[in-house]
Amino acid sequence: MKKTNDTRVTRDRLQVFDAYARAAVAFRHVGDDIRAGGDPWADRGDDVAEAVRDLADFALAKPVLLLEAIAAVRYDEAALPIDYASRHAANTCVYSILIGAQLGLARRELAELGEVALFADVALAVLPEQYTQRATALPKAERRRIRASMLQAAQLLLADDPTRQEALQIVVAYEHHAPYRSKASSARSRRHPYARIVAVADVYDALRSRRPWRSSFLAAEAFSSIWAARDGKFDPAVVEALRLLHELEATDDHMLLDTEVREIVSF
Amino acid sequence: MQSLLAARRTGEVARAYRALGELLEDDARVTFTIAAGHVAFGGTTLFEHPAFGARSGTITVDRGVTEVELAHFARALAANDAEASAWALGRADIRLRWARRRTPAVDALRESLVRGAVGRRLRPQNLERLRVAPELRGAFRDDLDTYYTDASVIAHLSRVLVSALRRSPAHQSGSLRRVLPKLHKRLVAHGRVADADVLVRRVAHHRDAAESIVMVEQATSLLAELAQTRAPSDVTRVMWGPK
Repeated sequence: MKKTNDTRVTRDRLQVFDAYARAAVAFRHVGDDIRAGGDPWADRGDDVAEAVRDLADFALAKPVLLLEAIAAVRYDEAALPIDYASRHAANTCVYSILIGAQLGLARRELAELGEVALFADVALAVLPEQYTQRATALPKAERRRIRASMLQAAQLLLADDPTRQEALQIVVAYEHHAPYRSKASSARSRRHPYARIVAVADVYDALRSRRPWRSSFLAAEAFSSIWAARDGKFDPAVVEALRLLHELEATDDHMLLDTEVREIVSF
Repeated sequence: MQSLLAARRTGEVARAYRALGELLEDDARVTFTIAAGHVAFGGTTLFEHPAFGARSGTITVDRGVTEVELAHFARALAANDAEASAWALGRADIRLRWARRRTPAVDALRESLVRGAVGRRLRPQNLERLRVAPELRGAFRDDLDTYYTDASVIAHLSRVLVSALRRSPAHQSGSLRRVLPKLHKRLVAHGRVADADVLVRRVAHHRDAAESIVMVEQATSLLAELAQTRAPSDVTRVMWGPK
């Protein structure tokens, strides 16, 4: 009996890894198509929707497996056969779905959220690699260009007569970099709730990722940065939902540290 | 498909349903196979529809799903929307699993993840330790419900695009200009005239910018639609805004 259960867990993990891989690769293909001047969405919709729906299923049934997929990505990011923009997109998608599940979103809403989160930073896919892979911090002019990417993303996603899903994608791509409260009036901005989730997921993953010019933040460091900006830059309800993920990932950090210490000692 | 569903739960199909009911009482999970547009169970075709196309896969049904619910699921399939059908039932224990389109890129990434995951497990018990406070969850739900309808999403999109237009260089704003009048029409069609008014007013606000002139002209023509239901003075005010 025990053997059966173990087999099921292994199979579930493989399915989660497979869904993660399909989402990341779909993002990369969209970027390739945009660069080549083709229609990025032709024959791609089903792949994306199925991958994200699988992730949403697991977020409700076995959320830990999704975090294990991200932990596996973090293990050796440089060795992964996928670029930074694609794995950041997939990670943002996974974190968004997990946060949405904590906030009580229904299954269909989680799938909708996952799709818009995956393409929230689609402009990154078409930025030259000099912007995402340079070894030093970006100079001011290049930072400005990346900041303008939210506008570029909205334009890349723009369809002539957008459907509901396309409309949501544009809204979230455009809004997820805007603050929760306006600096001038301190009033709540009218950002779409999905954009508020993606904003937190996006920043959290960016901090947790190793970049050529800095090492990755530990889960506790990344979370405390976001916690400090709750109710200003970020929606406090969403930050509250992130607490659970942060706790789990903090545990993983300790496990990783233990592993490294063990390896050093045994060497 | 229609014939199988409306029907004709006679002969083979009815037998298959009965057999399914018996199995569901005994086993925790029953799997149907899908091949070339057919859903088969025990060698008997239950449903067939072009929605399945040439894809293959499985439908997994856990114990507790009744025959009526399965028929409901089948009707959703008949609506030619396989994706929606999976949601239509609204149950967590029915899952559609298509055979995945395998690509070397997906396989390579998945194998890398497997290597990275070896020997590392998170502790599931931590999941129970924290939950988002009900009042925060309720407030978030209220906000999300504001966007429940398609019309409210389109209204929000129109606000976003007008904001994008302000930041967009002249040579990039063509696509935005093209889309906004269509959104305006859809808002009017949805009965969201107030949102349509806001859209026109915001666009008109930028009438002095050279790149927005074409857009204002388009908005002007759209106002003819509004003028059917509003007094001309109102339309003028909406178009050009208060002094």
